[in-house]
Amino acid sequence: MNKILLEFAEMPFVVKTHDDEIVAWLAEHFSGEQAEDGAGTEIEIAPDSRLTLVDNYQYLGQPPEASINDGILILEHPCYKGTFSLAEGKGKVWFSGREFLVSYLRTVVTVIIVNCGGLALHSSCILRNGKTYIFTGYSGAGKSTVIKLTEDPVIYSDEVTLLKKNDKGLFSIHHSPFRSEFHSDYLPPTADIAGIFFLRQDSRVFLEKMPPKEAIFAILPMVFFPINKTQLFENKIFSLCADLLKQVPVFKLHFRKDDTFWESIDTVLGKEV
Amino acid sequence: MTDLADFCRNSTMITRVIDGEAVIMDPQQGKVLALNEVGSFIWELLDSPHSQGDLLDKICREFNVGREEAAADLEEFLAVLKSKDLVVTA
Repeated sequence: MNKILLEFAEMPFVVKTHDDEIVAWLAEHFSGEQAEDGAGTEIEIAPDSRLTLVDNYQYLGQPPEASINDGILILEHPCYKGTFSLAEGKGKVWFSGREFLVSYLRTVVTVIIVNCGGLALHSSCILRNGKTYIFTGYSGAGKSTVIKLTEDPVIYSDEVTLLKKNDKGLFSIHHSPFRSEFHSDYLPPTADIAGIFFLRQDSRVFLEKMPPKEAIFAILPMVFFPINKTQLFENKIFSLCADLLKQVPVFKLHFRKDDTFWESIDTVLGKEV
Repeated sequence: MTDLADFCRNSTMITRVIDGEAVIMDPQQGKVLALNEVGSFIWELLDSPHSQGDLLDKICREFNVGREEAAADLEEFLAVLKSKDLVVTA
């Protein structure tokens, strides 16, 4: 059995598989390395899993059905089936198509990160002049567009931003390997978060500061989590969002499809300092 | 609603104070409710059991409002909290 070590937001995972092709792909796609037992959360890949997607294209983008029973996260999808024991920190997955291995890992990470004092936020995140900017909104709001409109963007995420508290309780942004369009080499964690921006496409470019009490209602639906109404996690996600909003200002960013939104951001944030 | 009963928070609710005002999460329902300044003051008091009369005295002192007006608003507010299972009566 091959064991490969992956890290997501400094959370180690050991993926076990007999398949050399999967090992090679994980090493390349997630910068994985050879691992020892007990080095992290264990994920075992079922032997008949395969990287190639065969005749299942209609299922790409379809989320899994998810539930938690007796502390076990269960994910069911036409192209993958996975479980993850929250108590033991061990999971198993069968998949047909590499996209679905990624989907399983991403879903497990969105759950585990909450237990580690973090959040997976539906957003893109750009590093610019030493600070990170989180752009969020529902699908079609422009999370990818702002990346395209930015000159030489350093991209921490284009779909799932991984935020996690450090040992001082401050949120840091971690490199997200869960990308939809813009891939990048590994980026180290960064704690300097300039703001969270809810995108509104408009003919004018301006920012509106959102009061934190309003922002919490806006940000809660942006947190990736596979299941609704799981009491323990709802409590944690709510508290983590409240903590995040104490540290990071939130704005509505009205923007049009050019790069002038950066001038507005610089002007408003410059005044805030 | 009787003036004699003591009201206190339903202990299953999660409260965070954001910008000086209370935001309450009902974990059973997955719903979030934000209170205004006066509501947040009352919610803070309800951390321990209070009668409606006690609450009214403290609101009038804190916000310098007339007792009659405050009583009607408090009655309405407590009814909302009860309808959402945010408070229990002792």
